[in-house]
Amino acid sequence: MGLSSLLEFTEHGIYVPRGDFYIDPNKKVKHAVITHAHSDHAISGHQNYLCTHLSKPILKLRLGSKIKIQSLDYAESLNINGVKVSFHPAGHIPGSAQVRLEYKGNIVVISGDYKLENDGLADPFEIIKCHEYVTESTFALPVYQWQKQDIIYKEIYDWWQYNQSQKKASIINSYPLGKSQRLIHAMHQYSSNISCHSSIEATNQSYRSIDVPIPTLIDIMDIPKRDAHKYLILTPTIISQAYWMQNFPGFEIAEASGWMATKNRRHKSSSNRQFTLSDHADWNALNTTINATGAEKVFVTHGFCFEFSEYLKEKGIQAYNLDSILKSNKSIAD
Amino acid sequence: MRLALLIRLLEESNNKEEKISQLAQYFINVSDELFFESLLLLRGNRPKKIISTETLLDWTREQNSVPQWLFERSIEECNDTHDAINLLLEQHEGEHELNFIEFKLQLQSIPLHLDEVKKYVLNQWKILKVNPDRYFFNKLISGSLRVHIDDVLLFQAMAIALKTTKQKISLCFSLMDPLKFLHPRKLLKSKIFLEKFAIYSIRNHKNYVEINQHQLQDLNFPVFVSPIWIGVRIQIIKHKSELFVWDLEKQILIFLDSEKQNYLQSLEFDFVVEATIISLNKLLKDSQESNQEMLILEDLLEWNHLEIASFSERLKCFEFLNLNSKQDLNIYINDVSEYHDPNIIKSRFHTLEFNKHKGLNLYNSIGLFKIQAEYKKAKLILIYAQKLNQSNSSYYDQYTLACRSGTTLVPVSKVDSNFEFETLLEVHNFIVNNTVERFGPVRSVSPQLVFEIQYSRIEESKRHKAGIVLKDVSLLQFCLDESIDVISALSELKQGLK
Repeated sequence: MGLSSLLEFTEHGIYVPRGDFYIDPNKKVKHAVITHAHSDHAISGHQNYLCTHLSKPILKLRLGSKIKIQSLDYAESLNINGVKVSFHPAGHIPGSAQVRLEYKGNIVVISGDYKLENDGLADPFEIIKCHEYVTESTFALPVYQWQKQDIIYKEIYDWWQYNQSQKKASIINSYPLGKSQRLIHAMHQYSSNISCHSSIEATNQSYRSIDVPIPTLIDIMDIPKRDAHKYLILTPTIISQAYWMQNFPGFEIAEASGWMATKNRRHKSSSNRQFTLSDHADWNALNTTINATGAEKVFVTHGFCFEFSEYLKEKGIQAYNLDSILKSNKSIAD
Repeated sequence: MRLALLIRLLEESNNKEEKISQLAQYFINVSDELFFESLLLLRGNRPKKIISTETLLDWTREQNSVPQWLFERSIEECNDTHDAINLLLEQHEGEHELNFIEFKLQLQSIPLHLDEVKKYVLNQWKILKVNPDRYFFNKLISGSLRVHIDDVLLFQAMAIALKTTKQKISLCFSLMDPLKFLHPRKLLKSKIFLEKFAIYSIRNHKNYVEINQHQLQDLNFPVFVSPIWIGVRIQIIKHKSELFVWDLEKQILIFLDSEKQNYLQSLEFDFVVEATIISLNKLLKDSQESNQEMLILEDLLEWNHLEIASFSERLKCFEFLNLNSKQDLNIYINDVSEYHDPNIIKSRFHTLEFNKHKGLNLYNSIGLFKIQAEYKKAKLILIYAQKLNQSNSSYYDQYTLACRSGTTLVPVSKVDSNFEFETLLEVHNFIVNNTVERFGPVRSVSPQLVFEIQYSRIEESKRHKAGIVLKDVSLLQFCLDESIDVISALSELKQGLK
């Protein structure tokens, strides 16, 4: 037996040989099980996709409507060559899931990206008891501890109000999938004067089609110039100097990301204001989750893998730096 | 806005306008007492250090259960010890905001015993809002807060907040010490301030009518002629034993070196003089006296509180001051000559050293005139572009221009766009479509776009690879149809260097 009872770590990513499928593979494969639709987890070119019902329209939007895709509801299971596969909420973005695999009583869970705090839009994270757990570690350092989201939302709202008093529009750079919808949902409680870039609106429409409660927003081009300062406008990170901004007499740009926790990163940001708002688990949440799963083996991927796996080892958990294993396996394959 | 948040915004912003706006907003809403305390802090007056940053780190380590190696890795990730301390401590929901006045009072009463200090610090960590109050507290208590706001910026913000002028604020500051920190809001309205302002405010600058060389012959002769120096234009107001020196451009009070200041203060007469401060460092590159400044006195606006209309009379008063004998203090009266022939003025103009002088001032019975260095033209090519205001500018509007040096291109000037919006947009689109590489905010552009520029003079520059830099550059037009062959060569430009 290898490191894991059910998984193999190959140059294509995490492979389940018993079921002959991959989980979030990074190269084209025949069967791919996808945790969520972010581009570092779902790439185009696989022959068959399996995901949650909520992720299906988003995957089609991002990877093309012609992809062959099968979807399951949360907790609904599918038997693939004797391996029982089911999706469970990860709380990261609407539709994101942890993948639970069960074979002959042995349970392995692949977390994908996750967060514990309920944002009211994505289904809340569910703890799954398992023998082996593959966890992300994007923010797996003790300096990454999030404040409650309501505090951050209030900060954003105060900033928005201040800009309004200064006759400036408020623009937030945020990821078009996940973070933007979370912000729209949260800030709509304060005011409905919210608009977003067309690339975000495309994702909003997909979500609305499956009844995710994203409010209808005014088109960015329809914002009256004289009222521009009243609006909170969401744009993808890459668009911060667009032509339409010239219509605004003045504007302030903010950034909302977990990376903005450190002063070092805030200083490097080109925005006027930064908010620490993340869709990933922070240090405490990662540790809470690992403990709650009861996993005997933990594979750490995506982020501070070395630091977190070493820390878990010191705590007496059998932990592995998965990125290092994947890299060495890739070099062997090469 | 509270002080902790203001400090955070000032620390993390690179935008001057934003800093002024935040400061002004803060001053508008703050109490009189805090206004003062904040001013002291913002001008670099830190509260005394109670505990070292290392001790704060030790206490943080005690509060945090992570292993030593992970603790150090976390600090490395932050690249800022105080930021790391704040992030490694518990991210609780403390509601308490740091009251700077209370904090300063508490500092006075803290016993110096380490255990007592620790108890106080740990308690503050528990109750203070995590961000930015706890961070601000740690910086203050460890004496690590290094926030020094430039006076020009501070005065500008205060002028907005107090609805007055930067000049009044600057004078206000100079009077605040002797008046035991009377609040600026009250001070500005006080009788004593108004009297002082009447004496020490900047006198109206005399208007010089700009003429060109051909108009010289139309002047009434004789004409007094003096060079216009390149330097800091100032107005010196001497009243009784007090001396006030205004920077005419920044509209703030500045100080001469103590020897000059003492000498001028000791003079028996009251006067208002316009002058230029020139850095000797710039004029005499190898001078041992590189810290000294040269003071060129140019015109006497008032003499014992009287305005003297005639320039020749003013000259006589100047001579009476006998300041030319003070060359050991580097105080000089500007070189003034009387001319009767426009051609001699022309030849004087042409012999000016344009790295020291901008042109000539002319005085006659009719009025005041000036003749300035004529702008030269050159063609340069665009090699780099960036946005002048990183955060708020939507278009590339700052260009680095280069000339030819053999087969390569060397930058000789950085110019801000003065184009109309349509032209700016055209250049912006060219930059976007012809970007070769990006270095952060700067785009390296394929050398295809030729600009016709004008400049007043050329100076030697060690900072520029070309060894020269063009001064007072402005863009005239861009020439899409011209090729790289038309641009000026470095050797041609260097000919303009005297």
